[in-house]
Amino acid sequence: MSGFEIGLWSLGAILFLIYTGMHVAIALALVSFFGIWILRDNPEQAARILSLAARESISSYLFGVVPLFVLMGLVVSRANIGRDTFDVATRFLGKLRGGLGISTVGANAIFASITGISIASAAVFTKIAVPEMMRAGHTAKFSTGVVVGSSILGMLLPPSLLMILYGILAEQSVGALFIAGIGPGILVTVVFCVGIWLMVKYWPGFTGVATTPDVYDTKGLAAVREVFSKLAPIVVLVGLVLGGLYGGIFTPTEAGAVGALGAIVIAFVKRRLTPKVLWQVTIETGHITASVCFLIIAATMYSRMLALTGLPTFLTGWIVGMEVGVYGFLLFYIAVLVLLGTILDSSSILLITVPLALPVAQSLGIDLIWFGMITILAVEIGLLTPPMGLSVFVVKGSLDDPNVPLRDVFVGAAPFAVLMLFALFLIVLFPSITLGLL
Amino acid sequence: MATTPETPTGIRSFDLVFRFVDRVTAAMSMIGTAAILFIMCLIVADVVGRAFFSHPLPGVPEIVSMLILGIVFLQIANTLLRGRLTRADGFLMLVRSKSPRLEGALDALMHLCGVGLVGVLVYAFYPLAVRSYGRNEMVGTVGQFLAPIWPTYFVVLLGAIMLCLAFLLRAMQIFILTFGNEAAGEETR
Amino acid sequence: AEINATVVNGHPPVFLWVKHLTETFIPTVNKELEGTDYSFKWTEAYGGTLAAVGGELEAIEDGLAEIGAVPTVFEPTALPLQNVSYFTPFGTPDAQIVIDAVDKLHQDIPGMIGSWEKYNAEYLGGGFALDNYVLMTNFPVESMDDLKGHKIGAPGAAVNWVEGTGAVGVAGNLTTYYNDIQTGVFDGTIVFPTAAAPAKLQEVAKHILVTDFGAQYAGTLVANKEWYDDQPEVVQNALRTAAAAYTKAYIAEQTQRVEAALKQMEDGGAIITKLSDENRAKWAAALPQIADAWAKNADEQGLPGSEVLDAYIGQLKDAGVSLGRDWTQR
Ligand code: NA
Ligand code: NA
Repeated sequence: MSGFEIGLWSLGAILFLIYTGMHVAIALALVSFFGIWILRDNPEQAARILSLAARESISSYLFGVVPLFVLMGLVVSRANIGRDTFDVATRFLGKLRGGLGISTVGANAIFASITGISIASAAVFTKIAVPEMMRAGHTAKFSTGVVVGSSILGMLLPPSLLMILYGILAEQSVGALFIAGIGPGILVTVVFCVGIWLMVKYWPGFTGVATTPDVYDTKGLAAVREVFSKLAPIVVLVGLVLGGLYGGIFTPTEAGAVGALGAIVIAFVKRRLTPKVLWQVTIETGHITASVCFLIIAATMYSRMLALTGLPTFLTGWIVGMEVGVYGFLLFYIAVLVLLGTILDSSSILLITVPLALPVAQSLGIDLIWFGMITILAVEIGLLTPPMGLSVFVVKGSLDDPNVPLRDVFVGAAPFAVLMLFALFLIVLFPSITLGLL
Repeated sequence: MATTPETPTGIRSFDLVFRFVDRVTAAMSMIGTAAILFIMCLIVADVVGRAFFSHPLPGVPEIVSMLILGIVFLQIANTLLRGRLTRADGFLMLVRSKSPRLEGALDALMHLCGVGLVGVLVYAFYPLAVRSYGRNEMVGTVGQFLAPIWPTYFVVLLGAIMLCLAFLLRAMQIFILTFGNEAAGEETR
Repeated sequence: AEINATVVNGHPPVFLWVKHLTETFIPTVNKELEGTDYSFKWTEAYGGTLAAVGGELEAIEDGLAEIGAVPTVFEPTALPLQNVSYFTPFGTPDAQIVIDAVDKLHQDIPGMIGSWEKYNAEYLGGGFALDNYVLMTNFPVESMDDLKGHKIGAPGAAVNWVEGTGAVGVAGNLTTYYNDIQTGVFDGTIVFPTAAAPAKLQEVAKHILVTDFGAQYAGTLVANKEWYDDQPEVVQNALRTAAAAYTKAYIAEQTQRVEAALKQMEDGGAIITKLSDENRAKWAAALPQIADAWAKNADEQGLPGSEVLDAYIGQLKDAGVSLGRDWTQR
């Protein structure tokens, strides 16, 4: 068997094993092991190569901050900072058509600037926004769909764990990626808001007909004081993270540590965190970190095996040779990412595809920051699609309501996946959305 | 299958062993958890020292890189036992609704693959860790910061051994719960 | 007979020391073996496909690769002796002199070869070096007095080069310098021109001070020793000849690139000034005796650290280099 054939077989084997339910990391590592064994005709060497990969792949400062971004997200979710943001958003946006949905998206966009992971956003807003929307008369499908959709803003707007990962893989500046994410993040926010407005107006069968929420007093001293008190923590945190980042106090990678500590202090001051809860949250952080990093180790093994087969080099030559141009390649690339997104989680897809696609993108003269944003948005669509849609699982899990089947959440999220594709289309057509701020 | 190490199989000795191993992984996970908070404090101290006192802490990148490797392997076995290791279980659920026995066999087999693979890693990593200790391998720069790397490698080794063990016990538990009614009955009798 | 060999380096092929593996080393071996009974079937594993940067030595030791360009600069604790130039800053800007000097050390001092043999590696010659490090800052610098209180990002051992100057040395790496200087985490960096120009560092740090910290020995070609010893003499000779050709081609292209890089940054708005000999000596004198500290550290491990230090500086003196500081004066 040629290296090329082994490469293709391995792809098939991995998809099969993942679909049948093997742990993703084990599937990747196992296939890599047998792949290298066949390639080098030496099981001992295969084991050695894998153990070197295990040691090298995550042992860096950049990976060291992964748990801190997770911790920051989990602390802010426990400290009810998301609920307060949502309250304030409904005050101002609640009266619009689809106002509660739009408020959810708006609050998520603000919340995104203090969390680097989408699952934090999904968990927080399920508890806050879904009951509120359903009480007002929206369908369960639509209510959960809005939360699933807007949760992706957590990793699209900086700071973002996916951008850090891409930065490592593509050797691009994480700071530049963070700035580049602002344009696409705002675009998706606007597209979601307009989409919600249109759906509520023209597709009431899907969204349900909602009553306008109680009109809050948005004027007067008491209201001002309440808005201030509710917004203060998030404003302080956003100010701390963004101010420190762009004021030259710390680097994007260090932002996770400062943000996590800031969130912990604020939560303690607001009396919304006890040492015991902090400990539980950190243990959960550890489990998420271990799960993500173990996957990264396995994906590194797999990408090394793939490289040894020569498949990436061949693929690069093949795609460049087809002369489909930049847009043809991007179309193909996005299709692959969305397809992988049905069964894999965001970081695995990034780890598997970026090393393959990067040489092609480079040879086509594509700007790698722009390419990164396209990659991240395309990968995030996978958070919404069955059978493995992480954001959907988190929403379903935190909702804990047997009357809302998993299927309904996926159906509700579908229009948002379509809206994301539309936004992605705009980002591809107009690179300045991404690169304008750089 | 929504089982935990606490789910009894009815075989008392097995349950005791599994619960003991589970406690050990939980203790390792706690050390990892403390290390996460330590990284946070270390980086903040470095930032504050650099920005406000012109005294960055030496060796922070080296310490953080070593710690993250250690943290992952301290947590990984417990992560598996708590059911947090990423997998797509849609197909298993489907099989379960048709034939719980087939699903149990399949799931146990998946876990045995984990035993095999992690076992291979342990086998290949052991000599590397020992060699690193023998040479007293260091990281850092003379004049700035120097620390031995081998303790991290032994943590990795220990974590991998525990993960291997966790996969094995999990596979046995699933197998017993699926097929072992007779055996369980004998043990309790 | 056909010989299978994997060539490893952790960096991608845009780096010159990888590029010339493909463009010079491999073709030269092939050419040398034309008309003999032997030929090679090559597998090239670059850019972390087999080993990450800093993992090459172990990949060779364990026989995962037969030949590799091992960047000794990323093995400061495993191969301390090969890092002598990083602890003797203000040496020579001439990469050829540095490589020749370190190659001579390998011939003269058994411990140099011994440090490779400890890792089951055969030194092939074929050294490569990084070009003359300079200081790039977002404020003008004429002497070390202008550095007081400023934060300077520097890689690994180069943090030592600002110790005692009043500047704050911060460990950093090339991928983040641009952003970190732009936002103000650092006010400048110690960097070499062929890396600074593609990163467009002059956009955020337009003051380039040619400090002549010196070109730095960065690594060399080695082979797995057991494998090498098994090869017939004609193959061994071909490898050594190709390693020499590799260094020659490397330096030729690097020299061109350095000039182009400085020109490119100047066209991009950089202001290039040269540190005067007097200020250079003053700066060098202000540093702690890092060379001696390094040599003693190596001596303690049973390596000929002091001997290497004296021999290296002796080589530079023999080559007529104007040293910023004589590091052998303890
Ligand atoms: Na974010
Ligand atoms: Na999906």
